[in-house]
Parts: sequence; C-alpha cells; structure tokens
Amino acid sequence: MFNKKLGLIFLIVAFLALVGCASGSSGENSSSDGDKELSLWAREASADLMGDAVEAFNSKDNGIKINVKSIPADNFSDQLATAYASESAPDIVAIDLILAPYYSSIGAFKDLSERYESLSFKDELNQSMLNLGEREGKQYALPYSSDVSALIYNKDHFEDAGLDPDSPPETWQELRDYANQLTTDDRFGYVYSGGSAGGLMFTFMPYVWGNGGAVLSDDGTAAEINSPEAIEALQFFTDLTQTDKVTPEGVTTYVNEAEDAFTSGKVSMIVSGNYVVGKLNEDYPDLDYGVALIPRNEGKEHSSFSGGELIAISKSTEYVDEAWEFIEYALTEDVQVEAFASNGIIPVRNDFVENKYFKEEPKYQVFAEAANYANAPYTTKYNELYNPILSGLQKAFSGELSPEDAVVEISDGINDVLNK
Amino acid sequence: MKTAINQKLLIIRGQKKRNKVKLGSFLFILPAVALNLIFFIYPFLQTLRMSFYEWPLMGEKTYLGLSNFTQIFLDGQFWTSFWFTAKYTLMVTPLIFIIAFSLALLINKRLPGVAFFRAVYFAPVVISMVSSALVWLWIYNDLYGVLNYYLLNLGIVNDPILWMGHASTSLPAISFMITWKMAGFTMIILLAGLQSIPTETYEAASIDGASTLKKILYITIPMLKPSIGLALIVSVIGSVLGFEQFLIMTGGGPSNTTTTIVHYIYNQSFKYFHFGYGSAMTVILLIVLVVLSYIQLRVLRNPADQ
Repeated sequence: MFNKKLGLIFLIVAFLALVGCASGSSGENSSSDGDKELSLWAREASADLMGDAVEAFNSKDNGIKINVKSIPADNFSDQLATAYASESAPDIVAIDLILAPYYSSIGAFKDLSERYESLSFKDELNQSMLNLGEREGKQYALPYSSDVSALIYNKDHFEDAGLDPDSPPETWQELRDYANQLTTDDRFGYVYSGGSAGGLMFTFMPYVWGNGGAVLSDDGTAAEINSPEAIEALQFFTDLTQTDKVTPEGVTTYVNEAEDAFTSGKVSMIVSGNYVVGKLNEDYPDLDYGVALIPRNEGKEHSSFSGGELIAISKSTEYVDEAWEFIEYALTEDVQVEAFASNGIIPVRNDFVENKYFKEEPKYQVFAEAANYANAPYTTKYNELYNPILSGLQKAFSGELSPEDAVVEISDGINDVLNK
Repeated sequence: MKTAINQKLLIIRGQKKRNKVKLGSFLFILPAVALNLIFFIYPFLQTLRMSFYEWPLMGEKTYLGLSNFTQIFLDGQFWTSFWFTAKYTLMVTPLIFIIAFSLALLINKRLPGVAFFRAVYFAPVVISMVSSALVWLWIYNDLYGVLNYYLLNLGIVNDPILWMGHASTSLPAISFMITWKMAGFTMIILLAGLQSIPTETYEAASIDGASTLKKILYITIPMLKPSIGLALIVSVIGSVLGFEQFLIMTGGGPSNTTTTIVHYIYNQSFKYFHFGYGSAMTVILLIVLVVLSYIQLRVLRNPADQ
C-alpha cells in the first residue's frame, strides 16, 4: 500500500508537472483503412449502452471511426480535467450535464450555436437540458441521454404489509404511512443515498423543488435554500429517520449501499434513477418492483432530478465536422430509441418519448413523466457546492442540527463558495 | 593537532583518487538519476512554482506571491484535516508496529509450516487498497454487514453500530482495517532484521542466564533499530498520505470530519480545480514529511553509525 500511495502522490505530482507543458493535441489519428479516428468519452452507464450504435456508425462508409472510452462516473470529472489540462482531451465528450456549465465557462468546448440552429428537430430537444449546455447566449453542448429520479418500490413487500402493490404512495403523508407499515424487525420502509452530495441532489432535492423551494437562484449566483419550503422537506426526512425510524440511521453514510439495501430486500422503497431499471431487470429478475413519481407534498407538485449527459465537441479537436456528424447521428432514432429507450433511458427528443419500448413497459413511462418535472441547478461551481450541501444535510438528518439551523449553515456555505 | 589535519587531508586526497577511478560507474546510476529528475525533481519544482499562482484548469494564471500559503493557515478545513491525519497516524502506527513485531517474533522460529503463516500474514498486503476498502465497508455495514450481524446475534449490542456514521467509530474501524492490511508489510521488514541478528549473541546470552524477555529487550530491539526505523518511517509516511481508504469508506464525512490532508488536496485540485492552492498544500505536506522522517532517522539511528 505504501508503495501504491507513494505512487499515487507521485502521479499527482507528475500530473501537476504536466499542467502547462503541452503534449500536443490528439494529433493525426487515422487508422490503417484511412478512416479519421475520433475519441469519445462517456460515463460507464451510457458507454455500455451505445456500443452497437457506435459500431453501426463506424461501419458506414463515411471515413469516420469513433472510439468510445468508458469512464466510471465517479472519476469522470477528474479524468476530464486532467485531459484538458494536459491538452489530450477527447474529440467528443458526453459529459455529466451538471458539469457542463463549468467546462463551457473555461472554454473547453466548441461553440455549436450555428450547427444547433440548423437542426431540423431543434425544437424537439429537451429544454431543461439545453439550458445547462448554454452559456452567455451560446450553445456549447446538446442533450444526449437523460437520467431522472423516481420512487422504486418492492411489490412483494407491499403485499406482505397488506398494501396494494399497484398504488404506490402519492403524497408525503402516504409515503410516511406506507413506510411505517412496511417497516418490520428486519426491514426498513424507505432509503435514499444520503452519504454523497450527488446522491442527495438526486434523491432529496426533488422534495425541496416539488414543495416550491430551491437550492440556488435561477442565475446560480446565490443560495435560496433558506426557505420554509426547504425546511419542511428537511424536517420530513429527519422525521423519517429520527421519529418514525422507518429509514435506517446509517442512511447518511450510504452511497451505493442504498441500492444494495433495496436489492437485498432490506428496504422496501428507494429513490433512484432510470439507469437502475436496466440493472434491476438484468441482475435481479426475481425482484418484482414498481416505479412511481417521487411523492409530492399535499397541494404541491411532483419533482425529480434531471440527470444524464450532454454531448459536446472539444475546442482542441481537428475534426469538428466529423464530430458533428456523430452528434447528429447520436440524436437519431437509432441511438435515442434503439440503444437508449430499449434500456429504459429517456430519449432527449420529445418526438421519441412515445416509442414502442416505452409503450410496452409502463415503468419506463413513469420515468418519462418524471422528466417533465425534472430540475437541475445551473452553476459553474457544482463540485465545490457539494461540500456545504452534504455537510449541512447530514447534520440535519442525523439530528445534530435542527432543519432551521441546517439551512442557514448550508446557505452560508453556498454563498461563501459562490462569492469566492 | 597538525598531524591530525595532515592525516585528514591524506584521507580526503585518497578519496578523491578513488572517486576519479569510479567516474565511469556514474553511467550505471544515470538511469535512476534521470528517472528521479523527470519524475520527482522536475514535478516538484513545477509544483513549487504553481503554489505561488492561482492556477485554473484552463486559461490565465495569476501570480499571488505567498497568499496561497497565508490562506492555508486561515483555512479551517485544512487544520481539521491536518489534526485528523495526525490522529490517524498516531493511532495506526503503533498498532501496526506492535502487531507486526509480535508476528515477526512468532514466525521467526524455524518450525514446520512457518512459511505458510508468513504467506498468510503477508497476503492482505498484496490486495489492492480499493478492494480491501470495499470489502471492509461491506463488513462494517449496518444493514447487511457481517460484523454487526454477529454483534447483534451474540447480544453484544442491541442496535447495529454505524461504524462509518461518526469519526469516533470510523477512525478506529479504518485503523483496524489498515492494520490488518499493512501489518504484514512491516512484519517482513522486521523479520529480515531479526534474521540478520547473529545467533551467537543469543547463545552467549543464554549461557549468561538471560530470560527471553531480557533477550528481546537487550539484544533483539537494539540490534533491530535500523529495521524498526525503516518500518516506522514507511508506516508514518503511509499514514500521513492516507487517502483511498477514507475516500472509499467515509467519503471524508460526515461533514468533512474524516477528510485527510491528501483527500483535501485532491478535492481542492481535482474537484474544485484550485491547482495552485492544492500545490501549496502539497508543498507544506512535503515539508512536514521531511521533518518527520528526519526526526525518526535521528532517533532510530543505527548505534554502530553514531
């Protein structure tokens, strides 16, 4: 280990050295048959799904070959940062949409405004995702794949508890009642990813948004989490753990554990994303589950986190036209429906949302509906904001701070980061 | 007095002559020197340079003078991480050493099957840190972890312990995991030292009627000093640079109470893209490590060299 750790420090130091000394752009990449080779980086989940579609694109006689590099979601930001710093960035990036504003702001991406305007289907693209790809009136990144959050529940557990497996909780109060009924000596009613800020954005913030609250102002310049609506949502989650004990106390440490707890039958309801559905179908064929919108507060709206990827072209690439040709292809039915929708990924084009796969599978429909309510904050300092958000929410949910004090702390922390 | 100086000069001249003869042998160490220059000296100088700048991922760098360093001293999180790392080092270093030393004494005997136990104790060292951290994270889990399962079933606790829920439990839990993982490495260093102690020394002591404890105290430990020094330095450096185990097992939480220095440097550099600030902390960390290693080397110098 020590050698490995030294090695790691070494690598970090070596990397720091490479910042500033250019290794040249990806260079003259052409394969033996004269095709221009372009690299594309994507997160593991979507890279795995697009294999066939990319192969189909490569086998076309257009002189372009796309090499997909699959990168674990947790490392994506670091690896991309390293690549840009050492000027060895991929030609095309399918980036976690939440990070797009930062990379657009530092000039990592090509301005695609004109090309975007020329698209025949430009009005069909998911508007909230387009917003995250825009900066100062220019379009730098386009929607690529969509991952939204929803409530997933174990139907067998519902039957055990005497609940109707076809009517999932609709409101906060129902969620609370059902969770109480579902909790037994060795089962908990409800769980979420409370150990990472990304997890909380995906699984908790929809409760704030749906209740009429916000994390940031629309322009991303100030915290807005100090509101009665947000406090109410925090109180609701705190009560689930501290008062009702229907959510395990360890929830503030769970990242992937939340999903493991659900798949192992230790928990009956979880908030998760549509990527999980493909995994559940494949790895847990015996698990009979249902999908529902994230419950809303009485008299308020449903909500969801708008996750997924945007696709952009690196400024450093020599092959802009070729890269654009691939992006156009990525937005066709071949990719959006055949590769993505068939696996429960919501197409980013509204005209594809009604497709044969979604018609067959009502669970996918729920996600498609959730996408209509989905939110994501626009900020260039997303990673850094993670810190106060995670810290404050953990303190609230573990009962260390009252929700009122926690939102003040989060709000101050966010403003400190934004004003730095 | 005069003769002494003359003698010294003679010695120096003699050394010079010898050095001349061996000049060609520098070629042999050239690859090592070159690697060191490329992968250590140059990156270090570059890091040093970056520590005086505000250095974003792309675009303009701004010269800041010493303000990154003054900022660090006012940064509450830096000090939280500093003291947490110090606490971790103070907890894990003696733990690893005591266990490794006992194991080394045990397997130093020429008994049948002892090679098997050497391999067993060393085995965790070769598992990658990430894999071990994930396995132990599962063991410590409150819902489906095997440790809480036994604690509950044996009636030792009534509710599962949230090992990763608070720094006061996650620090000992992770220290235990690291001891399991690293004791084998320290054990091998100490074993090598033990085996280099001539058996005659022990035989002579036995004839004089020394007990086993006395032999350990007055022969083994003094003669093992260089090995102990090496083992402790490696272990202290490893602990001060502790990172992956915390990244994976606690994520630095809750509320950044278990964020080690390297983890904080990583966050500042690769998550928030403040490469200058990260470099400045790296420089401070390097100075701390040099001082620590120097002190240990002084204290645990081989008695023969003094």
